[in-house]
Amino acid sequence: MANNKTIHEPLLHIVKRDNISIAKKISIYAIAILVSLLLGGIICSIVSPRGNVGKFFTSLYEGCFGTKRKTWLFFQEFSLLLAVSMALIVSFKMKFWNLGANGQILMGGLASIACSYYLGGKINESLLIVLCVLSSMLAGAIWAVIPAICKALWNTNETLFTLMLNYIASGLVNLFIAIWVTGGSGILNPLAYGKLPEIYNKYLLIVLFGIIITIIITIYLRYTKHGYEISVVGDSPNTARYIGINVKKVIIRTLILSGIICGIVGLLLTSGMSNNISADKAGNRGFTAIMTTWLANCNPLFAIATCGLVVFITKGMEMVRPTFGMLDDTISNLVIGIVYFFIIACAFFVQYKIVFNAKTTAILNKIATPFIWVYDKIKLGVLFIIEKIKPIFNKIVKKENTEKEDK
Amino acid sequence: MVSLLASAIGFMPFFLFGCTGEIITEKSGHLNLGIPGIICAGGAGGCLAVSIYMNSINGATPNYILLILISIIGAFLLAGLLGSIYAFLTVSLKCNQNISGLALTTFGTGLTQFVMKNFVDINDISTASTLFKLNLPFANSLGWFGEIFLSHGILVYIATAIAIITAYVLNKTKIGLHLRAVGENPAAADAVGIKVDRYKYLAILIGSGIAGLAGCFFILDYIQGGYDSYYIMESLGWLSIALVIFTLWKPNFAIVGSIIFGALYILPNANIVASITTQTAIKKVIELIPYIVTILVLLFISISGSKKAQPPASLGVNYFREER
Amino acid sequence: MKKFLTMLLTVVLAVSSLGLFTACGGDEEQQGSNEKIAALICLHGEGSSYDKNFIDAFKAACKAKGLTEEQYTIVVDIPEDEPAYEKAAEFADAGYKVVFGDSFGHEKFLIKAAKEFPNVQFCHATGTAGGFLNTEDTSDDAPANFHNAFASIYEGRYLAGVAAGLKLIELYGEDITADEAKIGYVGAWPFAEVKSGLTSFYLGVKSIVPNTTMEVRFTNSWYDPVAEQTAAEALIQGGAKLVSGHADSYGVPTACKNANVPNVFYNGTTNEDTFVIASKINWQPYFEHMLDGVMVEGKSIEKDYCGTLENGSVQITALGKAAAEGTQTKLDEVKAKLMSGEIKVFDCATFTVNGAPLTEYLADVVDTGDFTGETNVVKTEGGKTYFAESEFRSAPYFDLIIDGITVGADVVTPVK
Repeated sequence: MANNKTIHEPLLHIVKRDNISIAKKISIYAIAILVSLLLGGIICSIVSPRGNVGKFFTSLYEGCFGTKRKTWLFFQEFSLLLAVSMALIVSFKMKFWNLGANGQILMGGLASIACSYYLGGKINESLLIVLCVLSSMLAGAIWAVIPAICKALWNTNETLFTLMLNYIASGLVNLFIAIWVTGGSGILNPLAYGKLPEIYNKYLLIVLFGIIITIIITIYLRYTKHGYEISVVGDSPNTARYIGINVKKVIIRTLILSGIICGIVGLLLTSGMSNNISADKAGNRGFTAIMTTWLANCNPLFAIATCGLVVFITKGMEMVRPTFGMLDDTISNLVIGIVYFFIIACAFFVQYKIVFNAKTTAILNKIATPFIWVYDKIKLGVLFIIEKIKPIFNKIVKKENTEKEDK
Repeated sequence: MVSLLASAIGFMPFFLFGCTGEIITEKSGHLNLGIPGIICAGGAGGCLAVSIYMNSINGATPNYILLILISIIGAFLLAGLLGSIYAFLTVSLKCNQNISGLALTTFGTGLTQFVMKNFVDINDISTASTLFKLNLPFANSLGWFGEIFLSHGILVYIATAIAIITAYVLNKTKIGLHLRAVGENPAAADAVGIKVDRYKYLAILIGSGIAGLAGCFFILDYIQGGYDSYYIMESLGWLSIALVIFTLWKPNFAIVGSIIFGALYILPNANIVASITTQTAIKKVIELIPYIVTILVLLFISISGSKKAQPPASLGVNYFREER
Repeated sequence: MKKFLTMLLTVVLAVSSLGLFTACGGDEEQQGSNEKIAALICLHGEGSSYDKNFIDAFKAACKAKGLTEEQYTIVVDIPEDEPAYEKAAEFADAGYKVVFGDSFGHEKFLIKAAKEFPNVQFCHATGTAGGFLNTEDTSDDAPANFHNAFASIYEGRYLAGVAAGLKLIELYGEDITADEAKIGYVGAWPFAEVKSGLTSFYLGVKSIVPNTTMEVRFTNSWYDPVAEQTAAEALIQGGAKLVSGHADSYGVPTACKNANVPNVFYNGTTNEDTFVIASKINWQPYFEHMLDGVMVEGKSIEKDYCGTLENGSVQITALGKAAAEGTQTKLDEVKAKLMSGEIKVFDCATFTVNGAPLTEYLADVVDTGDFTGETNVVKTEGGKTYFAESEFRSAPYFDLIIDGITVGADVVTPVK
């Protein structure tokens, strides 16, 4: 169609990048995280006169690694979050939005505590522990597979279904506590039986689980037929059907796995810690893991980094708060939210680049010129110095070599 | 029963505003999980605006109409601002909707606490709140009808009006038709010349603004300033998202749906339950009813596959023009 | 690549300079000792009236004892679970001398930390381990460095009840009918601490308005504004002419404000026209005692401290706008009688249970987790037979529902 109007070029195009070097990717993320933390530190120091940005960063570090106990706690929390992330990775890779991890964790914990409550002292302790483990896996699996079956059969929206099941799970926990604690205080005291055995100290069992499950899921997704099927179903269910994959079976099977992992996390949080349960036992890890999983692009190895980062910031903020005299979690939420936003925006910049129209590009180039000039000068200077040092360096090396030969 | 209905209607605007706002957003194909944070931010915005206004009149009695208007505008603006962040992330940057929403919820709750603690004078809010509860003067003399339907502050009626207007716009106007097309099949809508991105932006912004009114209602009307009781808004916000399913994405249903949902939510503490049961355990079971009902509705609409009751077809999926 | 690097450089430079700018300043070196003394663990944060009460008192006590800001610390949002133990242990690691936990469910976890760090003092409010501390057997459930604390808040409730009664008389006259004498109470959980409070409040009202009856609702949550507001609305709908409560949000005062019904509050005040009075526990005397115990040579922390009207732990707030005339003089009079022992709040002559007055009652003072009572707490002294609340243990153990009080939604029958 011939057109006499001048073509109006929009300000910017969003163009998908062809490829991007790993180094560039990592540096983009690293910068985003650093900048967002700096921003958080600045906000904190503005709000509270007791601290400054330097203290912000040292408190972050101290909160995670300041003492041996804190370091263990960091790795315990890291492992728990990582495990939940693994559960979500297998499900998200299939584009099945399992927002119900909180509920699956709670059901696993509830099943285990129920076993301990009703059978504790009446049967052999080792048998009880086995029952606790099995029941928590079963409970988590059931809670995850119900929405999976409904999705497979009737295409029920899983985002909303799993969300509702979270509420029902915490309601069930409250119900059982109401039945068990006849004194009326609403608090279940630690039970006497059914506590998981400790390995070396109370944290190591959990840390080991985190490591093991990460390895299992990485291998599962990368090297098994199941893993292959999951990624095909996630990319395109139609393609999967054409090549003979039973999509319904894959969805159900994967969510069973997801539920089992969450169930075990529930077991660890209850019988593996203080042997009690409450409606907020899951600590909202189900939602936090959604963030870490997605930020890791559903890759188990990247999830190690994202979970580590999130736990670092969360635990670190626990130290920042008292240091800065903050008496509620207002600022924590703000800081964590800012970091999330930066990383989300980052994910975009890694996949796409912004190409400005000709006019704008020219303007940007003009602005960039002085900085490029500075950069060039610094580069020249550094190269110059290196040139000067090289001969001196070579001389020293030669001397050493001749000394060696002499010996 | 009368008191249950009256209390339920008194609480209904929270769900109705949140639900209507989210319906508008979801009709454009965007599932905004940031609604809880946006609702909180709306509350903060409303309080901030009222606080500034009360400060400026310095102790005199506030003008009723001006007060309502200012609070609504303040709430709408701050909520819309947060909604614009979500819109930018998901429409322009094509980021995953669930993640952007969740990040927004975290940020929104933090921002709300921050604003409420540092910029809002709780005494001003408390004084201003009394006006929100002003109801029609003849309500008391009309017996149970008056008590249930007429003894509420103006926000109840504003919420109902907004829901009705939304239903009309969605179903009977060209704009509504375009918006629904964008939510069902953005590629087709684009091919016909509808500016998909623009509709999405508008839907998200307006939807967020309306949802923000829920927060304004909660703090200024329901808890009357509340002395820090606003933390609970975030958990209630998730119920608004559930309510959207419950009402099958129809704003007119939302009016009745909010009342039913509100009644179910407050049921455990109502006189009806108090006169029947004496056990905590039974109350805990009653507390589960709203969620069980929502799941049943969800199952029902997916099993029946009825065309009229489905979520918008491209809900949760970002629109990539280049991949058309 | 170049453009990328320059952008990078610009951004990093800009933000770092901002950061450095704010880094300068705000870092004064504290003069004097930086030795860590006291740590406070809170269930929620300042947003909860319950925790704010502790936070304010703690800060005031530390200031009064001359502690610098480096020497005490407050952490918030520590749930009643394993994190309480971890936090307490962290403080012990860091060298704090005393750690205080403010919520009922923190107890077991603080005890766990206490066993691990015998040289650090661990203190706790509202806990029931005090029952063990007062028995003869040295129990594993109450190590030597663990201390409970509470206050005889039932006396404060009684006084608040008196003020409420006077308000009812002011509204409805001396010939107040039974319907007009109906009051409401919204409690959190149906256990002894709440039941003790509501009963003492009721008895205070009853001492002024003999034909008063009270309806109680339990929300089964310490903090749920919607539930508390709904319950209060329901009570008012059902005929309550005044509502009080024991929960941490402002749901009850809000409902009272909306319905223009007088309100008696707890641990906080409001500016509303419907506010009569509130009772509260002032933790500052205890905190000062606690700090003395670790800072002053020769002093130690009491095993099971029970604050009283005398030492200022139990307080009633200033009268609100709705208080009746003459309330202050009457309250001063009753307060003096409470302190002298002339009035006993739980005087068995003033109430009956299932139609008969109490002659003995086995209360669950020693909390072994079986929810059964074992200690007879009804005493006779100076001609009065009374239920000796807070004498055998600082945390309440009055868990009866007496005649005149009906529980609308929940009943936990006391175990005989």
